[in-house]
Amino acid sequence: MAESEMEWLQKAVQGSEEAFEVLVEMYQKPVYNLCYRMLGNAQDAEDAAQESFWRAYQALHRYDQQRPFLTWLLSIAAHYCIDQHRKRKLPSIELDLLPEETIPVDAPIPELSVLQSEQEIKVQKMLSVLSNQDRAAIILRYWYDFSEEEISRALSLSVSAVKSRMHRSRKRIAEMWASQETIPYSMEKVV
Amino acid sequence: MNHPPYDSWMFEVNNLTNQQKKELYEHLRSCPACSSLQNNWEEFHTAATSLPVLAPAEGFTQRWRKTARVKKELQARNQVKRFFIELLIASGLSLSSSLIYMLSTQSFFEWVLVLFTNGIRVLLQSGKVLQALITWFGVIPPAYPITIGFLLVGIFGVLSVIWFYIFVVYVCGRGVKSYEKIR
Repeated sequence: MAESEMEWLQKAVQGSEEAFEVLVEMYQKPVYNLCYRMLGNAQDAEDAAQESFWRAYQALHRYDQQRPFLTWLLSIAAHYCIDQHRKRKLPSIELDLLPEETIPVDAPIPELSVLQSEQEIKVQKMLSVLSNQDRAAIILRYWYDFSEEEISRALSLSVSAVKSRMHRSRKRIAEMWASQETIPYSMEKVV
Repeated sequence: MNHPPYDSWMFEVNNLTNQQKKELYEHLRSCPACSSLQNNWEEFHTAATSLPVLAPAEGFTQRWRKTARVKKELQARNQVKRFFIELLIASGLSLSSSLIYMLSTQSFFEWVLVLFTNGIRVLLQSGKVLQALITWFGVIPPAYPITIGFLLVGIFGVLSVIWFYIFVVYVCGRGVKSYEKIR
């Protein structure tokens, strides 16, 4: 962690709101990205990211400074997204049942160029067929380079549970990847 | 299809020893099913890791600031509400427990009689206090009672304004309205 980040973190832990806002500015992208990968749409991701930062702010006195701040923050965000899925009772779904366009037409567009990518939609579809915890494990592993131990801490699972979830998820993705046709993307749908 | 240990090795090629890699590649050459799975996984992995990190819409921190302010207001309002509810419950409990105690130790009629006589006694006592105050006010210069009177009225006035403000801000829910506006 850079020295300036450390200083801001210290100030935030001591109760400085301005310092926490700096941390929000610093970490908004990774937190938002995780929420987007977990929930699959921009509006829910924005709400989840805001709520995750609020929860972190509220629990700052419990933050163990030996642990990287981003890891702790992402753990909060992952738990929140898993809870959101449970509350809404959104099951993981079979690929055939998924609609062609998973991103709502009127959703705020974070990066148009990324949304235009066929790969983006294909990857997002792959993630959406996994269970909530499996998806969180895969995202933390391949987007954030978390080790299995870090994933187990972040998701409150045993390391062996993480290993078996990772194996199951990777196998499922591998089995489905080829069967998933590339989806043609239309600009008119988004704009 | 399960081909242990290759069906787990194929997803973690980077963590394998050279010998394990050699064994895996030999198996993949002879098993089209495993080979296809491994290719698919590699394709997904490449696609996923090449995607850029998504950013929220502009002004995320400003929105966070607003949300945090409103949530703090809501929290404060809830704390005041909780305080009033707890106060009400505590008062109710103490009143009902003292009532139960009185009714169980004396008959209700005796209890009313004690209440009545004590009330009369307090009234008489306060009458005496009032008389003493009037005598005292007669002795001291007339400017003092007027000043004290003004001071008391002023203090009660300020306290009323504070209580009214707390009631309007936290109990009547101004915080909730502004939170809904932001949402």
